[in-house]
Amino acid sequence: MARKGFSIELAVGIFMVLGLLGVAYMTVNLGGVDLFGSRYTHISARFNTVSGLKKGAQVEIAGVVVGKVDRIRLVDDRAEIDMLIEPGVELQADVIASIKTQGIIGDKYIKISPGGDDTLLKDGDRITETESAIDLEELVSKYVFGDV
Amino acid sequence: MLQPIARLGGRGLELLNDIGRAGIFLLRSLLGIFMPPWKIRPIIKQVYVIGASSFGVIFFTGAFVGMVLGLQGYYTLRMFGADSVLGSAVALSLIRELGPVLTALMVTGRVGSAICAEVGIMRISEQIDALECMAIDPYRFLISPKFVAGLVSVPLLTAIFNIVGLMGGFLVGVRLLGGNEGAYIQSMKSSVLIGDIRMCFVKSVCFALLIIWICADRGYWVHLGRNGFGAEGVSRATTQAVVISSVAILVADYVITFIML
Amino acid sequence: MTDEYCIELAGVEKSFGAQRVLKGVDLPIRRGLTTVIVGESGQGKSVLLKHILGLVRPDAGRVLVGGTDVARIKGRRLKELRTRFGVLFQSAALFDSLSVFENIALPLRERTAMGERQIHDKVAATLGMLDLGGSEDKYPAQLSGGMKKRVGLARALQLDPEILLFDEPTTGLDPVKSREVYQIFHDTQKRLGYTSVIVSHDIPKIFNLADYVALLHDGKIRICATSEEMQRSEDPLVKAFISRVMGNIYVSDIESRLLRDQDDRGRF
Repeated sequence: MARKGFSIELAVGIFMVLGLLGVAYMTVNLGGVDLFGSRYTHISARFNTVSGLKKGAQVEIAGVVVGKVDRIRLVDDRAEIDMLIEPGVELQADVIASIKTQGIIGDKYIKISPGGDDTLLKDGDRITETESAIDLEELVSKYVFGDV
Repeated sequence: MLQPIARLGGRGLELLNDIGRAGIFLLRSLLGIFMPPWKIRPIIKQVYVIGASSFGVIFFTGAFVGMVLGLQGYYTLRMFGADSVLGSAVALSLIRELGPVLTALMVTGRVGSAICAEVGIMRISEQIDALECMAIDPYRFLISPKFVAGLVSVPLLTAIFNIVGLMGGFLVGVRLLGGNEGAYIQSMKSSVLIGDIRMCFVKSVCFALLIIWICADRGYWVHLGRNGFGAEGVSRATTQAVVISSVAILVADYVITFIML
Repeated sequence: MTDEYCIELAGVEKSFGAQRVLKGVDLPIRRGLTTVIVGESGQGKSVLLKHILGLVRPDAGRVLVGGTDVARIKGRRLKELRTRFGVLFQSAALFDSLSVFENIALPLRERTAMGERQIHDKVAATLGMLDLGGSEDKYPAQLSGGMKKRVGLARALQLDPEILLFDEPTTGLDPVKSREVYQIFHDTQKRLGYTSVIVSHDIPKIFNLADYVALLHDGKIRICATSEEMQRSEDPLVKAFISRVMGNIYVSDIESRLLRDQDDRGRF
């Protein structure tokens, strides 16, 4: 009896440890919940349009992922996005943020082109130079109606 | 002429009666969780029955569901040249939908039926009456530990299902078919948000509640049903419990997704 | 209510759907004695028992236990009242997932503040009394029918009930075993002095055990008298009932002869 009780408890214990590890992996690693306070740098940027950009989209410098889009909202009729930039990544004050597409129907992402300024962006700063997504439709219509 | 309508009305009243009884059943069982004396052993035993012993089933279904997602996703996405988002496709479908739903369905089949049969047999062999005669609240004694164990076990099983599924998808999509390893992991990590994880666990908690509620309720009131008496009544109630809770899980899945998306 | 009666049913009526099972049952049950309720099967004997326990509520009438109407109380008071009862169910209703010891200890663990050691001693004493020593760690599925009944009785006795209810205590037992069970009832009652109510259709054998016999017929108590009075009754229905079971008495004579033979050979 005692041995049987022990084995049930052991099995339950192992099960619970495995399950909790799974939960932990999902929330911390996939869900991006930061258990140890925010290690990320918060940087915002305003665009004329962020059409197609989703929360969680990647932020890349030279093709390397350095963060992700945390929030998208409307401020003064423009789109403001908050990005979480991984620690250790230095952004100069004059970097350019642009919205790009992976392939033709792929996800939209933010590309940051490095600048040359001496001052670095701090937590909570905003990128001033931005380039909105290329709107294919608009481009085509401009071409058709001869604006270009 | 009026008889069919009267019969319909009778059925309707009966259904209403059943639902009301089930509501009281849920209430009393949940209240039972907070009534002393609290004992940990029955809960551990139920976590063993519901959770630990379902581990194997969940592991294999999770692995194969993940693998087939990897396979299907790879070939479908490659048609659009979007095989770099395979990780996100597998992860999102697992975490938002397939993980909680399939885990709940497996638990219904494996554990829900057993709970219904166990409670039903206790009812027809007068064990529940015996509890009442000993002035032991049968809800607190029998049903509440099952609710606690279900609410603990099903989310944990869902997490295991998801992780195993993600590994299965990785195995097939990357190791077997030669997709891009970095792209798989990166797209998985960037597309899964905390909202998805929250939805996953909200769903699994709701499903756990539904499974235990429906299955235990069907067993508990087996003697009142139109199923007939004795062993036959229990077997019909068990079938009924599994069918009702499977349907309820899918309906609840739609409702929760609708609300949370 | 006088001291003489500890349970009194008055005008108890109960229907299940369109079926009227009890049509006004009046039955006084005397303290400290054994009352047997007999009747054909399907007459609602078990339902009557469930009324006494408050498991079923009557449509009309009163069920007084120690002056309290069981049908009018609920919750805590019903719980308290029930602790005065011990019940042995038809199927013994042992919990399959618990061992014999755990089954018997259950009411003590759940309903009293006794320590594990006290519980152990008390259960061991009961086991000894009912000749169950050595089967503490068995599970109900491993027990014979007679042993199950004894374990059920042991469990029913744990909270020192004033009243013990037996629902068909000998169903599914062979004649030897059922005589054994009755012997145990007799002994424990003598020792503990509880009031016992037995529902049975095992009439001839029960006549020896009963102080009073009540015949339930057509939803009413037809007669409630001592077994001798009942056997001498002039009521045609009672007579018909007695004569119908006479055949069984003949059989039971053969049984007792067989039993005597076995006893001579040293049955235990």
